[in-house]
Amino acid sequence: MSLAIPERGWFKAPAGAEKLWIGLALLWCLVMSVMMPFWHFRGKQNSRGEAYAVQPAAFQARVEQFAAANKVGELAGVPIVEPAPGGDAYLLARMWSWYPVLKLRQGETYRLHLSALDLQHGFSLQPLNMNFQVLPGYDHVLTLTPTSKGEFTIVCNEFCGIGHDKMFGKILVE
Amino acid sequence: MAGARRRGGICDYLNMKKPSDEPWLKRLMDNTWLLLVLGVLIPLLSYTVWGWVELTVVKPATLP
Amino acid sequence: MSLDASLPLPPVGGTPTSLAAPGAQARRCETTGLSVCLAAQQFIKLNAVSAVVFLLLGGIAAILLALTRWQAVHLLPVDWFYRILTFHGLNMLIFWILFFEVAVLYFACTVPLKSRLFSRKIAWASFAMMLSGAVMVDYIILRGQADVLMTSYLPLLAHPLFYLGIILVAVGTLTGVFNFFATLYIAKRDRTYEGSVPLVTFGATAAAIIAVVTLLHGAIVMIPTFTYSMGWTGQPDPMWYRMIWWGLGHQSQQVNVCAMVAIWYLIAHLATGAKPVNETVCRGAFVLYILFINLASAHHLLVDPGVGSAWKIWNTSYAMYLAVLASMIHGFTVPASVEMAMREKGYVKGLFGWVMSAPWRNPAFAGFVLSLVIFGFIGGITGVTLGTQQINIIAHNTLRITGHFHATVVGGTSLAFMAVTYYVIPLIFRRDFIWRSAARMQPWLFGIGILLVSLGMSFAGSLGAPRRDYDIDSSGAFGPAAHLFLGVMGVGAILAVIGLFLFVLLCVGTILFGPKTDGRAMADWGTAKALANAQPEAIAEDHWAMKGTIALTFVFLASFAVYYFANWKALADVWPVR
Repeated sequence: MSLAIPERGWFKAPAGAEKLWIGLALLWCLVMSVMMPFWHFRGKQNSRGEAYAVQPAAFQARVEQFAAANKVGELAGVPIVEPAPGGDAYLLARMWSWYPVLKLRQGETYRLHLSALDLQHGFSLQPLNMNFQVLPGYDHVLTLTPTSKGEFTIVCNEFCGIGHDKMFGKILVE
Repeated sequence: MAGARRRGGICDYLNMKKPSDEPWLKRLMDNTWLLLVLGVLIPLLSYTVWGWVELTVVKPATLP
Repeated sequence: MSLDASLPLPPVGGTPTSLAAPGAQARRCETTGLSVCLAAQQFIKLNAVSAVVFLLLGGIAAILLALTRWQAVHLLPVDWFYRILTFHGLNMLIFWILFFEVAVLYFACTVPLKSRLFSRKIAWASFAMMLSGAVMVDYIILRGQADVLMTSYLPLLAHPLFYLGIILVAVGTLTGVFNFFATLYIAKRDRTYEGSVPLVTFGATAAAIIAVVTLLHGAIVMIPTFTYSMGWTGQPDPMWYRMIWWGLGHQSQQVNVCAMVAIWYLIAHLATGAKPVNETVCRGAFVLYILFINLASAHHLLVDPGVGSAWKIWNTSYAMYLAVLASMIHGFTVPASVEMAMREKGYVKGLFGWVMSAPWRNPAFAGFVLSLVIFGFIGGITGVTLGTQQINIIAHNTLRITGHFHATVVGGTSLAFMAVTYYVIPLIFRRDFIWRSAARMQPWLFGIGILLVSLGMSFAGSLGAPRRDYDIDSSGAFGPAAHLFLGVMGVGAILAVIGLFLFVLLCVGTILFGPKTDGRAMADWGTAKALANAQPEAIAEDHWAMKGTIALTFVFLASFAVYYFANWKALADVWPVR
């Protein structure tokens, strides 16, 4: 019994049903162990953590330059910016907005650079429910391919102060 | 074992099983200090040190 | 016995180590016949009472939060929401849990080993640091100077007392853990027991080892953050902070897992006379925990920049799921031990006759089973699934995460702690519970409530609803379905908090007014009794006797596979990303 000192010969191999269960559980664990590497090589959705060190002010300057060079419109006062297909896009998170609004083309692949100016933020693309962490000092690069059209909302899902719930942005895909 | 102890140290020695006779897994399970060392070292190396190294080798951004 | 064991040493400083020796400061338990070290008893009481106080504070915070996230009610204003959220996280995940665990450790190193506690002075130091740290943290949060949530992610910055308080709690707990290890040492040195330690003590040892790793990370992250908050040093890197913090944050919950599983074995034994079918298997599972469970702190960083795929995949897999294997092993051995005990007592009817005849009226037993089922089916399955590098993309920072950990830490660990209290108070405080009919209901109220909380959160999160967010309507991205599930969460929280308040009321009321058990055994909650037709030897020989458990574990494995692959399918539907 679990409160008492075990008997002298307590060390023995599992047998019967216990042994079968351990075998089955181990098999299941091996299946799961294979899934992540498998998806890494063959699956289309991965989080590799590709990132570069950046000064927030330098990133902000790059975003402004990107927005100015590729602006195609405005949405509620925020520039709508269309990056070149297959190119780099930039998105800046700050208390409490996402800048700029991105306009992307369905089927094209972009290198989306995410960083923050001030605190940690959470990039949460709805209704797809794709979520990534955004930190100041890190240029988090996502190689992203929009495969559906529409208007997508970026919700911030990392606490960033009193205006956190009002922090949202947009990505438009045509 | 109580009887062995009454007769003194020599009988204790003769009656005891040598550690090397026990399976290694049992010896590991009975060795709190080894478990403590391994339990600290393995996560410290695999999670903490490796993660720390990953962060120190992050390259500067080129922002193309 | 090991060859290097010396002959028993004379006691140092007068008090003998062995509780069986003359002059030992111990008493004999009238229920179990075990000797109880009086010093350990004192500190079990102090730590357990403190634990329940912080549980109460955390519970008040819980209902305020739930009634705010249930936006039809939206109780708190925005600043108090984040403040109380900070308060709730720390009081529940750190203070309630750690105080209770220290009490468990003091029990596990003394009573089963027939040893006295190593040092009263160290126990006082530990308690003083933990209590003053916790009070410091709660004070500064309620003053509005630490609105940073439990994780306090840099660059968010709190008042220095916040960090100092957490450091004190960590150091204080580590001191208690040292006392545990020192007791194990003197018990072995002075030969208060012969052979291997009992399983409960082994499980507690696993908890203590993991606690050392946890608290080391706490020191590494909190000390530079404290010095930064004082303006003495520069800001630690936010990504480094995340990684080290979760070495404290997640690993503290793995301490919980070990303590919870040790408690499952304990309650199974007390209520049904269960004993492990194979000690090697149970201990082996704890060894897998010790070696690998801490790696999975990585699952908080799966969609983070800076740490790469190999690090993420290896660590989040608990080294190829060996620690998950351990949980699955306990998921079999614990119910199997109960089933074998019941069958040996003669309850052999069909596949689940032993379940029907189990002592359900015993609140400790009911709580233990609910804890096992909620932790395993809901907590474990969601945790492993959400903790894959890729599936985390569709889960990180949504309410799916909070849904998962309310199943594990609350439905699992907290409910198990509540369940064992139904024995701790009669056996350590030596008072029988008052209002016994309410006590029998309490685990169900709490368990079912928390199940609804977890499910409500998980479904809302699957729709994308963010965690730690005051108002999901601001963005216009979420519809009525998300609100429905937040409502389910709200209703569940009301039930759970009533169950929590009832638990606290029962404990306080019993400690103050419960009938004393001096000189007699505690009043029986319900223990399985042997029937006339019992054939224990025949059952014990049969390695396939636990048929009900076999069926249940197959259902579990099937559920796991279905949920797991359904999530990969859901992931495949989102945009390609890497």
